[in-house]
Amino acid sequence: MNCRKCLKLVEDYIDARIECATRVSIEAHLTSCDACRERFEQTGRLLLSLQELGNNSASVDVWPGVRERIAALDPSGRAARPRPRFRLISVPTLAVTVAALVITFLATEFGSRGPQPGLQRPDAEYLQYVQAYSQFQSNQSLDAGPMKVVVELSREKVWRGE
Amino acid sequence: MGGFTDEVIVERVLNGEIDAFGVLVERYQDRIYSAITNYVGSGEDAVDLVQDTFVKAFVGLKSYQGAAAFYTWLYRIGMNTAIDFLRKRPATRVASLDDDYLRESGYEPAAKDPLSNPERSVQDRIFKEALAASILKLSPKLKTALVLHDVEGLSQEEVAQVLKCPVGTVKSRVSRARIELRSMLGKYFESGVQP
Repeated sequence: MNCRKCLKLVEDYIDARIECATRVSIEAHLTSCDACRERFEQTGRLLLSLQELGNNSASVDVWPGVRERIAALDPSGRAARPRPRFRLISVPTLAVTVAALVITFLATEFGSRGPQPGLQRPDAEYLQYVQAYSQFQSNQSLDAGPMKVVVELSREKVWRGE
Repeated sequence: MGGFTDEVIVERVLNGEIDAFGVLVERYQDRIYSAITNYVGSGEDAVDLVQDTFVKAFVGLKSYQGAAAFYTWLYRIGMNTAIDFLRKRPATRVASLDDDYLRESGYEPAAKDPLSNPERSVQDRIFKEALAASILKLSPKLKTALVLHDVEGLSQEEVAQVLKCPVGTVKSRVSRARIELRSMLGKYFESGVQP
């Protein structure tokens, strides 16, 4: 047993985790080696002090406080805290949703008005107008039936979107 | 009910006898208090943390499957509670030798007889206060292993169950913690201030 081996076994010696034969060797070495003996003594004192730190005791009985908190738990075992049955929508989310609805409404209501690009496919009214006008060209009479149709039609908005 | 085993009492609590849990609280509150006090360095904080520990234990009692001893399971909850407490607390408070949590927590020096050796009692107290302050400076892993093994007296196997790590890891951490403590307290050994 030399100092290097002995110091490696300090912990196991103090924790009583070595064989009897090894313990005897260590103790024999300690009788003749001041440095190793001092290390063993320091470690022993340190551990004794650590053990004494474990003598703390709670100055109060914690059970009443624990009992009270347990009683406040809901049946599921969690802390009794009221929870809403539905999830509330946050204000920013609600604002965005409302704005989107408004924009959609406005686009639907007013977006279809106004002149559409491209040629209009002639509808029935417009065809009536053309027919009446061509007859007017030949009749030259405002009171003629077809012209009456033209006048009436001219007052209406034929073009979609106007 | 004081003579029943922990497992029997747990069974009764799970069957609805809430007051039976009080037996477990009374049985282990001092041990949990001691471990948490030495871990966080404050007896006042430790009382709240002990309460938190037992409430968490009650809520999670269904998950206790009996594979390990009840008190190792309880220690695990306690140490995790203490670790979370320190993690959330602002890291501005540094343990100093002026910290008086030993007195606050009701610690009494070993030598009470004033006729024995007053000077030795004072030296003993100084050393223990320095020791307590040094423990607070250890890393969480080393501190947990040291507090459970050297302060609370749990075996390496029991500490391994609490920390859910190999026994060899526990042994290594305890050894490193002791080396660091001896390094921090070197002047007390050199100057002859001995417990």
